[in-house]
Amino acid sequence: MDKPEVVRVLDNQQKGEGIKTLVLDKAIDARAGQFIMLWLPGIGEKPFTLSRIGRTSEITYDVKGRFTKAMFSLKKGDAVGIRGPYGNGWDTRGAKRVCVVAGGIGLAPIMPLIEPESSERREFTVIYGARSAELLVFRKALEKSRIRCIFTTDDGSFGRHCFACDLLEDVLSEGRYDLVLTCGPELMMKKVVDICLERGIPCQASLERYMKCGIGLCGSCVMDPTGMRVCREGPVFTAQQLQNTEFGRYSRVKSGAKRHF
Amino acid sequence: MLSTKLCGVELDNPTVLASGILGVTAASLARIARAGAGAVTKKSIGLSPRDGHDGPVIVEVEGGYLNAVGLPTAGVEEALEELRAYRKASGKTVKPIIASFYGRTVSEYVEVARRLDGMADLLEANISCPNVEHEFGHPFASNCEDAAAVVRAVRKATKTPLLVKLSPNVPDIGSIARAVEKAGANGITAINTVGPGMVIDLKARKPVLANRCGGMSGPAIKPIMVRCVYDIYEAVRIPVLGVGGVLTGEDAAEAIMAGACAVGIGTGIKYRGIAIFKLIQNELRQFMKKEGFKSLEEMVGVAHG
Repeated sequence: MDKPEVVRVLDNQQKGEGIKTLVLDKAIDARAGQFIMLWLPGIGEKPFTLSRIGRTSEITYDVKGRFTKAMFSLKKGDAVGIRGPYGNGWDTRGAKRVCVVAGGIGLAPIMPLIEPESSERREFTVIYGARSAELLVFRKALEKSRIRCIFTTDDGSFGRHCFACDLLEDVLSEGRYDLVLTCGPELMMKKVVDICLERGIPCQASLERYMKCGIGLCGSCVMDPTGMRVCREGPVFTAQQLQNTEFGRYSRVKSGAKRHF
Repeated sequence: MLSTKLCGVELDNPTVLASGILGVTAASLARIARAGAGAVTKKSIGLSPRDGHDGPVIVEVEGGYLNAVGLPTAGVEEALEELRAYRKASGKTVKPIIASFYGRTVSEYVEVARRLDGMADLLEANISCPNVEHEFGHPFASNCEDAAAVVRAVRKATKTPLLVKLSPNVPDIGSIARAVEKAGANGITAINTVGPGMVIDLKARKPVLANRCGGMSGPAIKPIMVRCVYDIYEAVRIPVLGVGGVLTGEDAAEAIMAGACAVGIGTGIKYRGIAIFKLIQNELRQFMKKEGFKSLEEMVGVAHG
C-alpha cells in the first residue's frame, strides 16, 4: 500500500555543520539508490534516498528548508512515516571497476554500495568532494573501508583543493573503468556525464526533482523533453537518457514553473 | 472501429488522459500521446502561480487512492508556453489536447478562458475540485446556479469547445448537467474525485493527507462514475466524457454503454502503467468484436431505454 508506515527514530546524529543522519528502527527492503517518502506528521512529506540499508535504515541529509529544519530537531523515540521504496536505484550489474564521483551529501545514496557490509564485490574508486573538510561527512566511514578514496574540498581545507569532477579525467586515464556513478550538485553531475559520454564510459547519475506523489501519477518530476518520471524511471538515469534534456539546465518548483540552475 | 468524436473533435480512440495526471508539462503530455491516448488533458491551469498543498498529497486506500494536490499551477503564461511546446513535442503523433482550467471567482475563470481561447482543441472548466474548499469555498459544481453562472460567463470568453467537469458529490448530478448545458457547455466531463475522504494514521493519530481530506479515485469509484454518466445522458444531449475508475476495456465499455463517448484514464496508470492506453484499446476492440459492435457510436448509451 502507498501509505505511510509509522516507525520510530533511533537516533539523529550530527555529522557536520547542518548535516545529520537520521536512524530509523526499520529494515527497508530497498536497493541502493532507491528512495522513500518520509512523512513528518503536521509538517509534510519529502523524498530521501537511504545512506544505509540494513536492520536499521539511515537517511543522511542537510538543512535546506522548512522540512529538513523540522527533521533536524527529531530525537530518539519520535514517530515518522515512511512509504516506498520507490524508483529504480543504481544498476552495477556486470561492472568490475567502478568510479564514483560525489559532491557533499550526494555520496549518501552510493554509501550502501561501498560500505564494508555491502555484498557488492567490485573495485571502487571514490572521488568525494565537499565545500570544506568538516562537510566530508562520510570520510571516516570511507577511511575505515579499504576503498581507494580521493578527497577534495572547495576551500582546500582537506585533500585536493579542487572540485570532485575535476579529477575524473585523471582517474579514468589511469586504467579501465566499466562504470561511473555520480550524485551531487547537478552542475557537477553534468560535467561528469559529459566527460563519460565523450569517453564512451557507461555512467549513471541520481537526480533530484520536486516530487509530490512519488508514484508516477502527479507529473511534478517529469523531465523535458523525454517525459521520463524521476520518481519512476529514475531517480538514477544513464548518461544517454540525460543527453539533450533539461539535465544541467533547469528543474521545476512546486508550482510547476521552471527554475534555471 | 474505436474512433469517436468529442464535441466535434475527432479522437482516434476513446482513451483520454484525465486532468491532474502526468499533465504538468508538454513533455509529459506528449509521452502519453505517444503511448496511445486518443487525447490528453493539461492539468488545471490557474491565473497566477500557485504551489498547491504540502505532502502527503496522496494515500492509498482499499480500491483506490485519496489525493489532495491542491491545484498547483505555474500560471496561465507558462501554461500557454507548455501548450505551444506540446504541439512541437508531439510531432507526427499529435493528439488533441484538452486544457483544464480553474478560477477562484467567476471573473478569474473568464480571464483564464479568454487567455486560453484557441490554444487547445477543447477547454475543460474544472468547477468541481473537492480539495480547495478551505480557500475557495464550495465548488461551483455544488449547485445549478453557481455552475450555470461560471459556464455562462466562460462561454462568452471563448470560442473553443467547452467541457465542464462535474462533481459526483451532489444529490442530483442530472440537474446540474442540465444547467450547464443550458448555459452553453458543449460537453460534460464526469466525474471529479469522490468524497472527499480521510485516512487517519493510528500511530501518528493524525490525518495522513496534509490537506486532511482528499478526493477518491481508482477502481472503487467506477460504479459512481457509471451512475453519474447514466444520469447525465438521460438529462442532456451534449456528449459526456466518462472519468472514474476505468482500468480495462470492459470498464470503458461500461462507461460507454452508460452514455460516454470517450473515457478518461488517470489512477489506472498506477495499476497498469503507461501502457494502459494501448491495453484498454486492445481489450475494447476484442470486446466489441465478441459482442458484435462495429463502431463505438453503436455502443454509446445502449444501456438506456
